[in-house]
Amino acid sequence: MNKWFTTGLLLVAALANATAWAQEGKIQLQTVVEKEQVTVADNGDERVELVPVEKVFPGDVVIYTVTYTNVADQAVENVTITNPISSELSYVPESAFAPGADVSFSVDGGKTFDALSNLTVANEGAERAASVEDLTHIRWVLTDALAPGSRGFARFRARLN
Amino acid sequence: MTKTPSFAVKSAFAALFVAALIPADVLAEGTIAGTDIDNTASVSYDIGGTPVTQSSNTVTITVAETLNVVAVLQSPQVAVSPGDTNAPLVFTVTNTGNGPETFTLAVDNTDAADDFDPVAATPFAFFDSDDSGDLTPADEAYVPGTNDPLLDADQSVTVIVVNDIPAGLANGDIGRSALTATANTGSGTPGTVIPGAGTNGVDAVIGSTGATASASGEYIVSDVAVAFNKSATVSDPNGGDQPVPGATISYQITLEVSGTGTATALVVNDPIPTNTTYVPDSLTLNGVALTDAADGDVGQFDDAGTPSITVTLGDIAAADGLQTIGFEVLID
Repeated sequence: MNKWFTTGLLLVAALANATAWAQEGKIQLQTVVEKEQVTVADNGDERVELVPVEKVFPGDVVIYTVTYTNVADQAVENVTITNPISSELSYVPESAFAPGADVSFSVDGGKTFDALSNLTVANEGAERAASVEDLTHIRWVLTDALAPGSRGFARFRARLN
Repeated sequence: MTKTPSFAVKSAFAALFVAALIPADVLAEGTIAGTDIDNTASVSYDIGGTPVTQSSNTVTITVAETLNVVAVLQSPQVAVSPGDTNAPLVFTVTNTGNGPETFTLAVDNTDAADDFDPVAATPFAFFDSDDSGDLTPADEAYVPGTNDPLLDADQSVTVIVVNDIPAGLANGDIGRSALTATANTGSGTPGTVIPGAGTNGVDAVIGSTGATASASGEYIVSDVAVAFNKSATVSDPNGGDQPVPGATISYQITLEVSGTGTATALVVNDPIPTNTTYVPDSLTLNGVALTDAADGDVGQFDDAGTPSITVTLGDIAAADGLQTIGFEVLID
């Protein structure tokens, strides 16, 4: 079972609350932050759920999910979603997830983006490969236009320093 | 012929200094409690050839507080004598949680595996107020419940625990004393949540250390004894051993340290007997000649006032073995 899809109910709940987003435009954009919670059923099966999180402890991993929906009556193109990665958080490697999108990262506050393996940062007069602690933003660029009524989501995990 | 030793032996126990207090490599668990972390996504796109940028809602997570503490002994094993008072042991206590926390300190001397129990002095602990790394009059006494140390995340305090050493102990006996620091907000099973007890009213949770930490220091009874002896051999001009004028007396002084301690600043001084004359350049230490002048070596013959020889041995421990000083005089 893919644990990423155990949140369907929560996602639906969020969409039903669309009027609360108060975001004008042709794309509705919603961010949620959650954490994994493991529950053990009576038969011993473990079940991983995503539950809302408000309080975190150092070392905790949280999951940001950005849901986008085209509410216009025409397709939108060049859809690019950008999410900051707070300095208190470290991106969990390989955790970026977004079907139909290319993922890239920034270490300069969102000015430039590239694959993590291509990024460098200044280090005592020289350049070194960027680490997950250096990342300031994550970006998803949708490979195709988004048709009216279509929706999708982008997601990543981060660990609290 | 054996004479009563007439030279002086000075000895003192090594003073123990903790020269450089090196903080233990312990770091707090990161982001400070009470921090709010906001996150707002944005999206840009083109619709009908027009570029648009929008923001999402903002989500916020708040960093809760973990309660953690580490105690580390800084002193090496402390050499003591039976009956010593206020023998110090130096510890550091570090708040390894992620918020400011107050800690209660306690001392436990009941280690069952050691040879004796040190007796906590009154007061039993001081803060190293002057950062000397040693107990000084400037250091503030610790009174539980009155001046419990308040430490920010990552902050350390140096605590000097003082104990009295009972009388009647044997050389080499070891006694241990443990300092415990416990978070006042709560301690116990890691993971226990204390609602609203953290910084700015966030939840506090007991961290992996259980929010309590102990470190143990050690005293060793280190008496030191210096045994010495002096003997003389006479050689007369006739090939005999009669102490007649013109005969040579060879003196031999032996000195041996026993015990677990170190005799410091040992100096041997021996007057030349009256009616005799020192034989120049006859002074030796362990068979090696020493010059008569007050110079780079440890030996010296001083002709002023009462003539005497002096050998400055310095710090000698049992491991250094027998020390033998020799010199000769002529009977006038």
